[in-house]
Amino acid sequence: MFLIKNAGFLLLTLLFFSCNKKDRQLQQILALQQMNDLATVEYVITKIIRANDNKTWYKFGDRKILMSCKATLIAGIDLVSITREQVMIEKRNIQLSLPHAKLISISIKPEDIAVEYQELDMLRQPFSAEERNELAILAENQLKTSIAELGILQTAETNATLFVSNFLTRLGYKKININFDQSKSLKD
Amino acid sequence: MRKRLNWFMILILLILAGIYLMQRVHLLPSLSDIFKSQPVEIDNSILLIKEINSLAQLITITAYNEITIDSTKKGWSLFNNPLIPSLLNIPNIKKPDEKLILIGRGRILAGINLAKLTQSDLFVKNDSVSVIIPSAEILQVILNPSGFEIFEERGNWTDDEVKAVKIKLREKLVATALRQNILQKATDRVVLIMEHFLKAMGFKKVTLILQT
Repeated sequence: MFLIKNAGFLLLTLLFFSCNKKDRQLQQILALQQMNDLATVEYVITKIIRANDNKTWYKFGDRKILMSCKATLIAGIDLVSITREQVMIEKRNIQLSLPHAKLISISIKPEDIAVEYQELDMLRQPFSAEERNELAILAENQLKTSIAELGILQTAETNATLFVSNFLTRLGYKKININFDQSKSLKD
Repeated sequence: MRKRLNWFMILILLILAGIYLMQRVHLLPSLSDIFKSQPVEIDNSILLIKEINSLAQLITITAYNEITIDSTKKGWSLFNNPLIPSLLNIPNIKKPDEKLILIGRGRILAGINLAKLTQSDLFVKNDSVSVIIPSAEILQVILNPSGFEIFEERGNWTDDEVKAVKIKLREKLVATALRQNILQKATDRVVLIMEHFLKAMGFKKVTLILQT
């Protein structure tokens, strides 16, 4: 009787406890996208992926894996953001303000990820392809967060200065002065 | 009696609400979490810079694609003819086919390699410039681990076998981009960017010749 009388209240309570809001993000990617990047540096880096599956209390025995991966990072500058306002020409002398360097791509080729060692106890299953890929994703994410420490952007700017300077020399300029746009870096 | 039952139900509801609130503020682990397999984490190992190479690549177009690929390893059966075990009234001992279905999302960067530009490719006269542009090429194919989704994995697939399937998927990705005419689109964009850059450098007349 009590249950019938309070059915509405109980139902609402159940709904309240069971509802789990999940934000679904709509992902849209353009199939073809225009770019204007001058890639000036490539860093080839290696990383060891070390994992131990021992966090679940009811799984007995060791299950360890050691993988290695090689990643290629490319950085450069946006060539189209150079406008006439950023260039000062006086006869054969030129002063140019380049945009700051940015990371263009991170690439980890499938053949550059290798399982070096695996240790499995009798009761444990070997790492599946999906699990190995998930570990590689974790390594990829760690790599993305450590980019700033590598100094790739500074090297990209140095190389961009060199390339543009050489190019302008070929175009006949005698005195070339290149700096990096301070206002843009402040905005970023 | 009825009043006691009501109190009892309210007490149960209060206890449930209390458990729920304690779980929300992480004072109590949820029941499903106790038996949930914990995710495997990796150690934060150091990054070793192996090479630093100078580049001069003008990337003008990116093609995003999503490709599916599947691979099957044939199983085996003790009897070639499936009728034999039924005739002999014995079980048909066999290993089923092993299947791997991958979905790969990748990026292809195309443009020109400006490092190929030689002194003879540039001709300057007063405020006019003429440049012979190298032909567009695929500069990078990016297919990272985060771009892969293993849709189905049946059986035991070794690291080398999975790698081979992933490489095949990458080849398919490049072929799709080439079918989308990525190189022509990259060339068209190179012309625009180079013209914009050279005009910004003070040249009034810019002639761009595409290398064949």
